[in-house]
Amino acid sequence: MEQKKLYESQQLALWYFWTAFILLGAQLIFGLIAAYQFVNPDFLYGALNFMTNRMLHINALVVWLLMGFIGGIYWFLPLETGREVVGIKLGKLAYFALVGAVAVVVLVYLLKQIGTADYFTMWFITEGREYIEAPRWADIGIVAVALIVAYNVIATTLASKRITGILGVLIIDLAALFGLYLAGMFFTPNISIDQYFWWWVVHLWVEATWEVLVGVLMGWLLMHLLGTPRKIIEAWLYVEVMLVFGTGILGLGHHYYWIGTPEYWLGIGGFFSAMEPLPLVAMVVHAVYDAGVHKLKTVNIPALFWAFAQAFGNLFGAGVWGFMHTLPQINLFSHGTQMAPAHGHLAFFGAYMAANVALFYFALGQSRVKEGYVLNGFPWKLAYVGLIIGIVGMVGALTVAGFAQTMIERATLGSTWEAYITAQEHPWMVSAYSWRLLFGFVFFVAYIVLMYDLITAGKRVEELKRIEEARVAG
Amino acid sequence: MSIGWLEVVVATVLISLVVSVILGRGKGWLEPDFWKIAAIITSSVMTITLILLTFHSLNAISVGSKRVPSPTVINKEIGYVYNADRRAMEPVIGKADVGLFGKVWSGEEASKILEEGKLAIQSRNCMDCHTLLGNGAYYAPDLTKAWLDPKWEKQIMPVTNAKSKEEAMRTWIINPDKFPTWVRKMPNLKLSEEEATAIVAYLKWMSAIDTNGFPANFPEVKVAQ
Amino acid sequence: MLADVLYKLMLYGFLLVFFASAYAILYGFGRVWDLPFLTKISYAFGVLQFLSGLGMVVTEYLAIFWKLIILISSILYLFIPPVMWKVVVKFHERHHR
Repeated sequence: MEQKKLYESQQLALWYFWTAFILLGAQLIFGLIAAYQFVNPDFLYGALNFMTNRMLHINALVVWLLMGFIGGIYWFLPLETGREVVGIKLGKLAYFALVGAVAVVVLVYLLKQIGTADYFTMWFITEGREYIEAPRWADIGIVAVALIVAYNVIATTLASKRITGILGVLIIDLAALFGLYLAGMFFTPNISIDQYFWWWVVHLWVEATWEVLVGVLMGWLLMHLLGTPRKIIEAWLYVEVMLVFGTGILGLGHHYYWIGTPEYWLGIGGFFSAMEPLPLVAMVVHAVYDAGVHKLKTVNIPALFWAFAQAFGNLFGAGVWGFMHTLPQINLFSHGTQMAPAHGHLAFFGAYMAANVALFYFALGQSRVKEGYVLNGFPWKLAYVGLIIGIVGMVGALTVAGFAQTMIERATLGSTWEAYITAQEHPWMVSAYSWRLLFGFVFFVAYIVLMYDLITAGKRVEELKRIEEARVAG
Repeated sequence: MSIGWLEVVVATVLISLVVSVILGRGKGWLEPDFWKIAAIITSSVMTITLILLTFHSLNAISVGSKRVPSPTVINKEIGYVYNADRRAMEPVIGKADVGLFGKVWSGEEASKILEEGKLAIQSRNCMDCHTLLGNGAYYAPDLTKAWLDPKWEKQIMPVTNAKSKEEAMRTWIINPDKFPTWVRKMPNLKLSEEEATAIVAYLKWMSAIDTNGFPANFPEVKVAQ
Repeated sequence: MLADVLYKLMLYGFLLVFFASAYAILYGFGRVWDLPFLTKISYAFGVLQFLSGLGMVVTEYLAIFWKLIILISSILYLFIPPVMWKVVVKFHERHHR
C-alpha cells in the first residue's frame, strides 16, 4: 500500500502518539502492581513499594496524556495553517529531549526511589509533590519543550498570515497551560501555600486548560471527520471556553476547603463546582445530535466512536462522579477517601484518554488508509468494549469502597489512624480492592488488543473492502 | 477584612453576564463573535477574581498568621476541639511552653527544623501513600492531625518503650517495619534521627493549622489555655 | 445518624446528575432518530432526576441556601435537554450551507 504524503509535522505527531501509547502501557503496569499491593501488601514490599508504583502510575499518566495532546497539535497545525510547521527541526529535537528526560527520571524513580532531606533531592531525585514529583531539572526541561511547542504554534500561525478562532483559543490556552506549570516549581516550608499553588498546576490543568485544549483538538477532529462547518465548531468552542473557564477557574475553590485557606472558599468552591455538571449535560445533547445526524457514517469509525466516548465519558467522570462529593458539607467527610480515585479514574479516562485514542485513530486513518476505504474492523471494537467494561468495573468498585470509607472511617469512627485501619478491613473495602484488581486486568488485556489494532489498523482495509464487496455482491 | 463568598459569586457572575451582553449587543446570539466576547469576558473576570482572592488568601495563610501559626507553636500544647459557632472543629494552642523533645525551640531553630521536616517529607514521597491536609494517596492514613492521634500514646509508646509521645513517633517512623500495626507495613525510609525529629516537629506544626474543621469527628483534644 | 445522612446525600447527588445525563442522552437520541417512544422514556429520567434533587433538599443537613441551589439546578436540568435541542438545531440550520 502506498504511503500518503504527510507533513513532517505529522510524522512528528505519529512519533508522539506512539510514545504516548507505550507510556500508557507503563502506567497500566505500575497501576496493576499498586492495585495488587492493596490486595497483597507484602508483594514487592521493600523492593518496589506502593509509593514508587503509585508515583510512576500517575506520572506516566500526566506525561502520556500531554504527549498525546502535543501529537494532536502537531497533526492538525499544518492542516489548519496550510503549511509545514516553522520550527520542525527544533520540534524534533524537543521530542528527543523529552523522551530522554522521561527515561532518566523513570530510571532514577526506579533505582533511587527516595532521597534525603535536602535541596539536592528536590533538584535531582524527586520533589515529592503528588503528580508533579519530577525533579526540578526535569521541570526546567519540560518548560523548555513546552516553549518550543508554543513557539511552533505561534510562529506557524504568524507565517500563515491567518489566525483562525481555533488557533486563537489554542495559543491563549497553551500560554496559560505551560505558564501554570511554573506555579509548581518552588519550595516552601508552609504546606498551605505549597498546596495552594500546587492546585494551580493540578486543578487548573485538568479542570480548565486541558479541557479547553481537548475542546480544540476534538473540534478539529470533528471538522475533518464529519465535515462540521467551521463556524459551528468555533461558536461551540467559545461557548465551551466560557463555561469551562467560567466555572472551572473559581471551581478551584473546591480544593481550598481544607488546606488552611479562609472559609469563603467553601462557598465559592461549592457554588461553582455545583454548577460544573450543567454545561456538561448541555454539551452532550450536541454530541448526540452529531452522532444521529451523520448516522455514524465516516471514513474512520473508531475515531468517531472514541470521540463520542469522550463526550459521554467527560459527562459521567467529571459531572456525575464529581458532583456527588463536591459540596463542602459532604466533602468534609469524603475528602481523601476512595471517592477521589473513583472520580479520578473515570474522569481521566473519559475526558482525556478517550480523546487521545480518537486522535491517534484519526491520524492512523489519514496516514494509512487510501481514498475510498473505511478504517474499521473487529479488534478495535473488542478493545473499545473491553476498556469501557474495565474502567466502569474499576470505578464501580472504588465507588463502593469510597462510600464505605466515608461512612465508617470518617462519619462514624472519627478519622483517626485506628479508624482508617478498621474501615480498610471492612469487607466492603476488602472485596472492592479485589474487584478493582480484576477489572484492572480486564482493562490491561483490552489495552493489548488496542495496541494490536493500532499497529495493524488500516493495513487490513483492502482485505476488509474485498470482504464487504463480496458480501454486497453475494 | 472579611470577604463574603456570596458577594463574590454574585458579583463575578453578574459582571460577566452584563459586560458580555453590553459588548456583544447587535451581534446575533447564533454568531461565533457573540460567544467569543462572552468567553473572553467571563475568563478575564474569573481570572482577575482568582488573582485578587489569592492576595487575600496568601496573607491569611502566611506563616505566623492565625490560620498557620508561627514555627514556635511546636513548643506549645496543641488541641483540637469543636466550636459550635463555626459548626466545625478547630485547633487550640496552649499557653505554656511545654517544648518538644525536651527543649524549647527558639524561633530560628524552629524555622530551621520545620524547613528540614518539609524537605524530609517531600524527599520520602509521603504523599504517594498518605494524604496531607487530605491530599495525596489513599494507601495509608491521613496525616493532617497525626500529631493528635490517640494511637501514639495508646499503642506506639508501649511498644517502642518511649517516655514521651514525640520520642515514640520518632522511633516508630525510623523503624516502621519493626513495629507493624496491620497488614500494610510502612517501609523503612532510611530516616536519620535528625530527619525523623524534623518530621515529628512538622507533624506537630501541621496539626495547628486551621483547616476549617477537617478532619471532622476527630476525638477532641483539650488543652489549658 | 451522620453516616446515614451522608450516605443519602451522596447517593442522591450521584443520582441527580446521573439521571439528568440519562435524560439528556435519551432525549437527544429520541429526537435525532425520530423515536417518540424513546423521548417519552427520557422524560421519566427527567422526573427521577428532579426527585433525586428533592431527596437532597428534604434530607435535613444542608443549609437552606444550598438546598435552594440544588432545587434550582434540578429544575434547570428539566429544561436543559429540550432547550438545548432547539439551540443545536437552530445553530446547524444557520451554519450548514
